[in-house]
Amino acid sequence: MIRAVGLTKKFGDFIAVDGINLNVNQGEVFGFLGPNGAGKTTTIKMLTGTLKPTAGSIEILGMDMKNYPIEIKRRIGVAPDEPRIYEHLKGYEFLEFIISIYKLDKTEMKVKIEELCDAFEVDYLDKLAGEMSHGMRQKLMLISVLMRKPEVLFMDEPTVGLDAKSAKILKELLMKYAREGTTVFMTTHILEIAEKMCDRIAIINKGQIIAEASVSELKEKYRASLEDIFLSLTATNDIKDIVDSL
Amino acid sequence: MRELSILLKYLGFSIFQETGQAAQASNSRRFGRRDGKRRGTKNRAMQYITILLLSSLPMAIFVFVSNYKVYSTLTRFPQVAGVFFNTTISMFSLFYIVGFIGTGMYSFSRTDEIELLLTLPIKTSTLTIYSLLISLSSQLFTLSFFVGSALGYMFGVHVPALSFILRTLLQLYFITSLSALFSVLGGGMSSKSLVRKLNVFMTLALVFVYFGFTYVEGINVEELGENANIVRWLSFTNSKYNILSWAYSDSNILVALTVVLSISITVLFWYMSNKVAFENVQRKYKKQNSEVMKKQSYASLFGGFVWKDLKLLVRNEQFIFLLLYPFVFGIFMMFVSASSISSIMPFVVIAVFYCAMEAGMLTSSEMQSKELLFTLPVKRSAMILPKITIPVLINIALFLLIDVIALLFNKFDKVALIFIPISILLFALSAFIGAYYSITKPGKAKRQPFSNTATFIIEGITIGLAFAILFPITMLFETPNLKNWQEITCWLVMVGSIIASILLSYFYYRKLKKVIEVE
Repeated sequence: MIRAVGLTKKFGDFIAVDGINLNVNQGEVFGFLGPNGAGKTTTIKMLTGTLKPTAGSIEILGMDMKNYPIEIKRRIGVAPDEPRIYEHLKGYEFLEFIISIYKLDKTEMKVKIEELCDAFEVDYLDKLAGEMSHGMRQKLMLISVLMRKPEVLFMDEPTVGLDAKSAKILKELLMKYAREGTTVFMTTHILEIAEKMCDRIAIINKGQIIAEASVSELKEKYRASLEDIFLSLTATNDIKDIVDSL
Repeated sequence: MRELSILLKYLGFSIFQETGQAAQASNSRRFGRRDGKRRGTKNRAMQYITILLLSSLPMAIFVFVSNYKVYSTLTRFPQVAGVFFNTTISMFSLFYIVGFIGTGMYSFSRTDEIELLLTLPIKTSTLTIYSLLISLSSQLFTLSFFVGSALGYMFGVHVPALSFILRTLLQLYFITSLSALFSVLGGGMSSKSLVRKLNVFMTLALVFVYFGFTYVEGINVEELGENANIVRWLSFTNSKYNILSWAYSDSNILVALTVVLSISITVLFWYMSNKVAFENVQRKYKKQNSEVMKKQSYASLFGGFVWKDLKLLVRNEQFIFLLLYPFVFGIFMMFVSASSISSIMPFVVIAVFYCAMEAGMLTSSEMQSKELLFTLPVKRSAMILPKITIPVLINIALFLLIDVIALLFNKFDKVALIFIPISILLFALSAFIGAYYSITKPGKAKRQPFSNTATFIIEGITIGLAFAILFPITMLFETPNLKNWQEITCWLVMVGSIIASILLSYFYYRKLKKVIEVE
């Protein structure tokens, strides 16, 4: 479903992503973890065709990203970390814009939109996106992605800005979609989410993947909690020393 | 006082000045000093007021001079002068009140900014004065017209200066207190977008009043004075029921009434502001999703991007200004000149630059959401096409509309038809340039499509070429008995500029194509 080989992204002299390989299967929930600035978002941007890699190849749903970017984008769904929605559009207008761009069945989509709005308690479709809070825009963005039920979902910090109930619904929904065959590639800083939801995780640090396995395999290998494993692999300073010095 | 000066320094008059994290982030990105040293924070309010005063002062001086000339010639007709003065002062007072209330209703509401300020140890009275100053600052432009006109009357008609100045101050106090009261009562019923739209319409209205003065200045005022119809026509402004002229009334009772009313309104305002200012107002009825989704949409019919960009066009007050200003200016010129050529030329010269602005604004709005855009299954060309076609088609439509109006008023000149293909070329060039520079040289603020350098380049190319093509055409067709060398020069300049426009259009089209693929 998702395959990346030798994926590299350089910004001038800075190497944001350094020749990583990824292989995510159909119906899998794949967690992509890493500290801030490790290269998670850059990787997602390359996998979703919004950023051109400096080197390496990407294959999504059996199609090469270089040759079939539009076909791939039509079949995947992306929820970016920052939900930038056209500020001058109202909530329902944004959803209609998406329906029009993806050439979806309007009647069918309207039913799904109503269901998702009820689930996420979205009652502000008549409001301009520019007047919405981050959380409100995040929910709207999620609805615009989930209503299509794409074959592959890329979610960059999907629970940020969501209230507890909405976050729980989203997590359950993603698991349900995965059971039905959707591939989910998600980044998160909340290790509990990764532990509960993901079939496999990869930890990226300084542009390189430093660990990749299922949570149980990692725990067995390092004999520690996911949090301790993550920190031992990525943190440079002792946390206790930092806290003591503050 | 200290709290107020801090608010003014750091927040300025933030409805009109871009603040917030986005602006700060963008500024620090662009202007962040690598040595880590920070420049002192400039006083945002002072910056805004200075710019506003500098831009409105020339207008105020002109209004003063033109009014002075008119009133000087009307000294023999004091009744006509009085009627004319009451009309202008009532009109400016009305502009002031409407503009003030529009801004005031927003600044006295519980906005996100006020929400934050209410958590800080700042007195509510300070916030009230701050909100009043925001509203007041929004009307400086109108105020400069008001003062210019009043001074023109004072010096032109030779009324007693002290009494007149006191009456003018009373009038300003009266309309300010009245506006402030309505603002605080209507707090929460306005929005930032509505305030900005209102200001655009007020500015447009003032601009055309300004043009009106330039026209009135040119006509024979002696004849106007003898024409009693004008007095009858405008005499309603002299009526005792015109509350906006009471401060200047000959009746002492009306003047005293204005003083009493102003003080009472101020007391009432202060009382009400403590009661209702910055409070949550009852939100309007929230529609059910099913009800909202039933609305007829033309998104699919027009193609998503065209529909979306048209929405931006309708909802953005800058757009409304950019479209209305050259159009109304063209119409105005048509009525005060002999033929439609005189209206078409200024229209095209202004509209070509505005067309670039419109294309730039549409493109920069798209680029602000590029994280979303790049995930959509569309080619970049499908995204950029409406940014070019919408401004070009709308400006062409306005061009044709001016011609139709000229035809209806028997002012149409066939030479205007030659301008059509040239305008299409110029508008297309402008749209390419605007879209290109909004990506490569974006402005500092969110609402500014290009950097200052790019703006100068765009102005130079678009206005320069429009002038270099249209002026020779006008000369060739409108000026009789041109000398041989003049005719040759006109042809050379015109043909050379047309060729340059075609080449530049192609050049910027290629550059734009390249840049949108790279982005």
